[in-house]
Amino acid sequence: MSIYKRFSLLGVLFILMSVLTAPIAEAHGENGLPGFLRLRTVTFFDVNFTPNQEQFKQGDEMTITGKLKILESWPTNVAEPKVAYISVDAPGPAVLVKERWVNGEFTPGSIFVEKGKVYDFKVKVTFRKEGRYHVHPSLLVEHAGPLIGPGHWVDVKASTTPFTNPITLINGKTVDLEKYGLGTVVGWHLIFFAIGAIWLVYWLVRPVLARMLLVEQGKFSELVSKRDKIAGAVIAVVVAMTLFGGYTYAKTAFPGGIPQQVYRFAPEDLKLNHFVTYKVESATYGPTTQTVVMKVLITNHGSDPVRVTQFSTAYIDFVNKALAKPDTEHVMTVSPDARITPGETKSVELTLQDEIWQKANLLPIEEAQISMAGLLFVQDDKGNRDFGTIAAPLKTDYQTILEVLKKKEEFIR
Amino acid sequence: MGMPEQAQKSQQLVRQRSRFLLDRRYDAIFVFGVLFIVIGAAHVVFMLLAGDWDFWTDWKDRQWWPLMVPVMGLIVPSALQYIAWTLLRLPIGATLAAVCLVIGEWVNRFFNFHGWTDFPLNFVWPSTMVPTAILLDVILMWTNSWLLTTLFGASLWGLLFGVENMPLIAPFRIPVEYGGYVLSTADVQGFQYLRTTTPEYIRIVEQGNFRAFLQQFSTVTAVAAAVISFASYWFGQLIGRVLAVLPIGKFMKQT
Ligand SMILES: [Cu+2]
Repeated sequence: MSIYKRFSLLGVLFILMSVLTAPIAEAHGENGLPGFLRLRTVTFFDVNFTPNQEQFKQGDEMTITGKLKILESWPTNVAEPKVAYISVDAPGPAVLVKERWVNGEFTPGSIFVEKGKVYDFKVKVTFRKEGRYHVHPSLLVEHAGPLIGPGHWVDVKASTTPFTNPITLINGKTVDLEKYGLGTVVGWHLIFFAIGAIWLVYWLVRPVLARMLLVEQGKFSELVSKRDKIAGAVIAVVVAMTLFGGYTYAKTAFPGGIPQQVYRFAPEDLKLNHFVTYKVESATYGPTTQTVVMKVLITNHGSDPVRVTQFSTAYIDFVNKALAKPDTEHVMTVSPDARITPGETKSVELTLQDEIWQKANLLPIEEAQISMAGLLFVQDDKGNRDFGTIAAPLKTDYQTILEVLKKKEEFIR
Repeated sequence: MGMPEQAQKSQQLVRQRSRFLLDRRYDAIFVFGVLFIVIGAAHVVFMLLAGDWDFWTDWKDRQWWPLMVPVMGLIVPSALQYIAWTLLRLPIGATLAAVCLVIGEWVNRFFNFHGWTDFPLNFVWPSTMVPTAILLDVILMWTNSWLLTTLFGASLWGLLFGVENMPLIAPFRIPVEYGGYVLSTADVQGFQYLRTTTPEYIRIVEQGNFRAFLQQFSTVTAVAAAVISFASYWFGQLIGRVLAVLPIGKFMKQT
């Protein structure tokens, strides 16, 4: 093989290597939990997108509000939730996160969280990129990964003016964060690069491979001359002066810098008035009909009669069929759907028949143990609402599992 | 060791400046081949080892950035310095590696982070190690000693990383009042430009305090970086030795 071929082969190999390893290096973020674990980890509810519309243009804002509860049924085989980050899920920096509030407090970074607690969030985003994309609120939990709330489609049209992101620095200057400091960065990179290139060119204009023979013969003085050593001294002085110049420039052009700031706190608890308690009597799942049936004992400790309004799990709300609007996506039947009077304990059967269980891989029957968990909501006539976690392993008929698996196998064939 | 006959022959060739065997065309091919290989190798090694500290301004802190990036970034320059010096007596191995790394990283940031994912370049620019690489090469040329190059070159490499990158990071250390908090501009970039797989809690930076106004890059970190750079330099030397003795050395002797 010729030297040319060998080198081009090696070159191609290394380029391939760098291309192939780049995604690995960048995708080291945390992986999402499998669907069936999501039911038991976090429930999003009351999520609203304001303005609730699809059409936007670059630079428009949207506010995402909602609540989430880190469930008591958090699986033991997933790392205990301690540190979390409330964010949005969108195609990367297509949106800018302008504000994040948790339980009424502005939140610069991550928060300390606890199982069983409820967090009220507000995230304000600005649309930066045009295009049609899905935006969700999300909770990223350390060692457990992202848990995504309900999504909202937006169609962002290009603005006639170029997108800018003005921000006022503490020194009073307003800058565009889209390109602030880039000139400085590129300029200094070019200066350093140029000095490096001069040093390389100084040596590489002379024969290169021929040096090998002289090295073998030990003729080192012919290879590095006195003149070369002086050139080395000159370039070293140039480097030292440039470094001093860079240092001075940084001090004078950008005085008063501070290090990165890490603010992490536990948000103050929300004041929640609980007046209802729940106890799950039984929970079953029929895979062929994709139906979850839960029998729940509800006790009303309040002073007004209450009615079951909703069951929420992961990012899905199942609304009591009797209360559903025409555009309600997921419903459940509640029977009996009578009011539970103060002091009364009533057994209520919830039937949730929905394609989503398998479509979103929330209840895959191949798993060793499947469970249902989520929040059950009740409301009295005055509009007072209460909710609590219900969680139970799902019993399912062994015979039907076999049938479904067999069908799946046939389908694959 | 070359046989006397062969040595004589090669000496003759150099004197004649033969146009056949050691044509400048081969030099050009050789240099460009090496350039590609080094860009690829330096980029891959660096991405895997120093990744996030070099990717984002809000990771470029005073404590971990000037430690992780120079220490991990020295391995390839050290290996290349060894090969270039022992086989060719060229004091440019480290500089070549640093320059190639800068090219590779800018290509990566421009096409991947900026072009594909759309992060603004002022959030994802790479660090530079070119000035300290030149010093490393010049020190080796002057001293012709691996020990002295380790003591002076590798330590300068670690010590001066903060200084050589100071004009680059300076704009992003300017404070901003944001939501009632004092943040650095880099923190605001991290807050606003959405990274769905890099939540704030995985960021490993100095746990800053806004009263601790920057006087200089932390001296403690610089000294630590200098000391660990010794090890990193020798790790690179080891790789250089293995490469020079095994495939590259043999290959170059064949041609
Ligand atoms: Cu989506």
